[in-house]
Amino acid sequence: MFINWGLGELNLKIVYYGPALSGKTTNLQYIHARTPPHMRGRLISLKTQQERTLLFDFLQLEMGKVHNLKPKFKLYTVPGQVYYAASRKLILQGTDGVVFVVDSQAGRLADNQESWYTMEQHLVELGHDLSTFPIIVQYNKRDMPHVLSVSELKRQLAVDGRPQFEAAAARGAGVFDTLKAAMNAVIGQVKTAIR
Amino acid sequence: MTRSQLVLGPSQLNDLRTALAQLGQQADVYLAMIADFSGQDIVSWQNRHDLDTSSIAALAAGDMMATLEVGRMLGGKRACNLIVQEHDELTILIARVGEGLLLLLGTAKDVPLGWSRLALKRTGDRILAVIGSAAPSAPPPALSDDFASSFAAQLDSIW
Repeated sequence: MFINWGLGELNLKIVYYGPALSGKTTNLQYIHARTPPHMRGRLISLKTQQERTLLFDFLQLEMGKVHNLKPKFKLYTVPGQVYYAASRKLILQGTDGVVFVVDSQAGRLADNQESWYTMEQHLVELGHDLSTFPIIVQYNKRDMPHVLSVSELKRQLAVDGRPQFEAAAARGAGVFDTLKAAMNAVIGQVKTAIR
Repeated sequence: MTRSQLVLGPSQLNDLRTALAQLGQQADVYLAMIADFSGQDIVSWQNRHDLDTSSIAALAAGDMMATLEVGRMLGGKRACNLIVQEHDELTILIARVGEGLLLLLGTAKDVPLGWSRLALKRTGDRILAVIGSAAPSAPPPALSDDFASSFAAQLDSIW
């Protein structure tokens, strides 16, 4: 978080976290495509030659003035592949909230659990209190065959008490519900955080 | 708590902007920018007006973090303090300032590297002096209880 009282700007960071191929980059691509151009910057993607996220994707959104303050959100994704663990922790540095993107397909449960565990571990190491830190859960790929039920995913990931949304990010379903919940949760934390 | 949290008032921002502008006027500098390790762009000076400083800050922070990690994995005992990129047309230096800030300097190719390094050191010291006086301040009246509800309503009007 960086607060610039001179310009009345709240600069806030949200990281999309989750296992490889869960749809983190797809979320950002959809947000970029469906946001008015004057409210968004360029979508920066650092990809491998195979189009997989290498370091991060980045998108800035400017939400216009609210009560003479300008909230600006910097959205990042982390690389999901297991061997990029170091990059994921680095990108979580300074984040004000996380969207955890779950791959709902039955065969990905262990990957989701591993990713959730490492995310919590990184956040704790970075000094965050998990009981108050904004984490929004998105159950993505609900339109795919062989998905686990949401109740089963909730049980397996132990995410009770977090805001949760079903999504099919490739079609855009649930993308903005998730984003708005994340932004509202982060804004809700601002007053507490700067005291 | 290690959470990145920087609150700057108008006079501190002005001091930082002045430090960068003075740097920019001493040599053929394209961009001088302060960012933090989480990728937030804090203040910048540029001799053009079309640079996307938000994206540059995010990328510079990623560059520095990745370089630090490479150093650590190779057994480096000291933190990396400077990255130098020598391009055909320009030179870019990204210096670490204090624990959590970056100072990026983009210059013409013919600006001596020695001058740039010295300038980064001096400007970094000035930045630390200004930031060191930046105490967290109380939220202004604009951040009132209904700010969150007004913000939520604004989001609903956009998407």
